[in-house]
Amino acid sequence: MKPWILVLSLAVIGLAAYLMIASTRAGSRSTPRPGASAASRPADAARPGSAGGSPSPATSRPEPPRLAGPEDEPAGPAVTQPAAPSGGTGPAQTGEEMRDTIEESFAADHPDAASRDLAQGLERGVRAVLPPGSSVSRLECRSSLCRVETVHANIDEFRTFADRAYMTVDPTRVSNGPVFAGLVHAPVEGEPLVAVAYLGREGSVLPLPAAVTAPEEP
Amino acid sequence: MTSKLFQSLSMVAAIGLALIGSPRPSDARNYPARGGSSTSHADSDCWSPFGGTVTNLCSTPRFWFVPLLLDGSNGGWVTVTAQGANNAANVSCRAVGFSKDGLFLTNSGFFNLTQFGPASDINVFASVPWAGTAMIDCLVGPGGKVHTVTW
Repeated sequence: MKPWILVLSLAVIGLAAYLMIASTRAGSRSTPRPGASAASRPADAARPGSAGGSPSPATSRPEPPRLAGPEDEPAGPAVTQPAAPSGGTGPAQTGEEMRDTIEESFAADHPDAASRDLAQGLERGVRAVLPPGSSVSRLECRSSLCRVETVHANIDEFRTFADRAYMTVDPTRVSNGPVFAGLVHAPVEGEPLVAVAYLGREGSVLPLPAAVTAPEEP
Repeated sequence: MTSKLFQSLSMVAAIGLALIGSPRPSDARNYPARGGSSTSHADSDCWSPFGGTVTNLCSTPRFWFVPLLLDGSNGGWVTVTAQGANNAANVSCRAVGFSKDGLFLTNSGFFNLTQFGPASDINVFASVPWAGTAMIDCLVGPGGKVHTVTW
């Protein structure tokens, strides 16, 4: 074989191998998720993900400093990045699946000494921001999560409540910790909506899946 | 015979190099804070850009948000690189996520700068229902800066 043929062959093979790898990586980002059959999900939609992964209980992270007064000093060394909750390699979950995942964690949790006081304070905050046609149907705190179930006349009431209670940057927000909130059932015209929210302790991370793991240390 | 063997080994080596040495795309996405926006249009004059950085020039804390471009995942850790000379210039950030139909929402809670002076990282966990959206909200004190959002 002549040298230039050998060089050309190597170049072609190398290019082909590179293209094959590149297409494989691109394909893995848009692989349709098998078994995606929930009613709330488009049947023909593709979603990325890979197999495996299960949620873990709420992950605590070191307490970060709060936005304090001008006299305060910076609070200590940098917070160590905790590991992401498990499930990082699992398929992306819908809102309904995330709700069910965190419900399982709540069910496996147990009340502790602070749960009762926490629930009382939380209930006061929730009732203070409920729209007139809404109500609290159940509220319970356990060691790492609180669960708040509310009933709303329509979806606009739910959104108003969720914004006031869980999302706003105003003091009406009922918790400084992480929150997941959503509907228990799909909305039905003319029927009240049942919503549920799970609130973690301040500085913690909810037991939800993530497709992206903790950032690498520099 | 030796020539054939050499050719075969060369081919194998070329394929091996292509497999091992092919460039790997970076998993991290770095987005300039300047690509976000003042949460309130009334505060738009408070912000001074420099490169990808925005600085709050007003005398009270103001909110700046940065949308996250997602690929259908459930989100994950997001690092906000920010800077404040002292506690008055502190920066406090959170991640919020929404399902595409707006029926589910998440909020990481706020996390502050861990040191004052040089730029430092604030890590927040963004949980996003599949096909949903997410953004970073930062409360920036007077003189505080937000540089980059990485996820």
